[in-house]
Amino acid sequence: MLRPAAVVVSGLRRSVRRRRLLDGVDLRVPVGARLLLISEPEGAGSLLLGILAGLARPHAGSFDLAGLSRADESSSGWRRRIAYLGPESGYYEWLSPIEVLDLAGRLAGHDKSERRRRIEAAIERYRLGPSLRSPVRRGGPLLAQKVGLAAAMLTDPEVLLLDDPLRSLDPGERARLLQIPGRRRTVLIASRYPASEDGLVNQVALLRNGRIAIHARREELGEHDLPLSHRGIAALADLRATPVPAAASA
Amino acid sequence: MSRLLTVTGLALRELWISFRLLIAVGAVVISALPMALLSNRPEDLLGESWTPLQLFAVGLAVALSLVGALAAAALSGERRRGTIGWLVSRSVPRALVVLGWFSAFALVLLLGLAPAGVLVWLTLGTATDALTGPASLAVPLLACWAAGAAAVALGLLLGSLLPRLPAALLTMALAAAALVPAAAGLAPDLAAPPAPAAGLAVIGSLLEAARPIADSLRSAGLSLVGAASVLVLGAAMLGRADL
Repeated sequence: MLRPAAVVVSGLRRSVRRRRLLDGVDLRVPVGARLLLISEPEGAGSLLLGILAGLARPHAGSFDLAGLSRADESSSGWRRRIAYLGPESGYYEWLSPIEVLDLAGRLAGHDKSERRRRIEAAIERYRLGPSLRSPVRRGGPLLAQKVGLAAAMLTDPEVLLLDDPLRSLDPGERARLLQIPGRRRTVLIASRYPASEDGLVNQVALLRNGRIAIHARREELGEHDLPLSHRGIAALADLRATPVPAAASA
Repeated sequence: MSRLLTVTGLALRELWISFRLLIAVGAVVISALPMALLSNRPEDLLGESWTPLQLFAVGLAVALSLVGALAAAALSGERRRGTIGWLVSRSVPRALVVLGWFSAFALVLLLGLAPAGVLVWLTLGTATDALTGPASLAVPLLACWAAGAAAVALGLLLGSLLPRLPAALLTMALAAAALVPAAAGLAPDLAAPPAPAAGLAVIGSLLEAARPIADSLRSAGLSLVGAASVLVLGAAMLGRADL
């Protein structure tokens, strides 16, 4: 039986400066999956996540996230169910961590008491430190990225889109923060350094020449003694693409 | 509505923190200073054909163009920094972002025009007897605010399309080309009501103007319609942009 899908992408096309980066992408990510997306060329994965987050427009094709096909402004709609975190923090860094989290909560439509409860939980989980009321920029990129993730998680999203996130953090702290809780939460990570996502993902996908060349379970790499790396995933894609000789299949 | 207020508040704080709010308000207020300083005999410095009010009108035209350029640079910069993307990924419509920045700059213009108007009124002194009342100055200033709002809308349109510097320079050039000649009395066609620059022309010849309030209201109306049209276009352009 098919598991319900949190992300369904069909026939997505998009060119940038006359270069076709997405050329009919079809992807179906089940609920609760942690998918590592790598791409050739590198920018294609970020572009796909940007389109899913509403930051860029596709030239053709469609997609559904958490069962929603377009931005849904209802109280339980898009803004609470989807979250995106890019490589840059994006918000105004003259805001304090508390203000960023409060702003994220307000934009999501949470009332004051609900915001306070969620903000307190986020401060504890992400160890946002003692400088909660001074501008984020004073804490440097490390604090900025942690606050960015905390703001993305504030709404308890069903689908989390992470574009090469938290690169300023040390690997241990990064791995701790990217252990995203929630069995039904679906996470897509576009990464340039697949090895650093080991332990965080249970599926891998390679976007090659504008299409999904492979979408496989993480374990399949191990079954073929391939590492969780760009080369390993590309090799798995090549293995799958190679036709099985008739004698062997018999 | 609450999200529009949120975006407008963020825009105002960003302008305040980056000192651009001070530059915009200061430019508008400073446009009234030469008139105050040279009110006795501006012709000694500028020639017989110039009046103090004309000097103010030209300064104000330049200041309004500058505010339009600041709006262009602001939106283009926000696009590149990813702050618009952060809001859009939280389902804030792109049109609302444009409207929020427009509201912020419209408020900034008001903040500058109010003290400038008071300064001009005080500088005119007994000459105000020739006017029917403060409304004879306030309504043309309202028309100037509307012309400034149109310049801001133009800046937001170009800021949604171009990089920061080209957007700012092009906005400055286009707005100044439309406003400065009219304010200086060099382009009667641009100064004829209901052209957006007519409010500036009315200010320049305020003491002799036959119908300052009616002409200014017509000009303000056309400026606001123009600003609204350009804003719709700007929102559509931002809607197509990658953030």
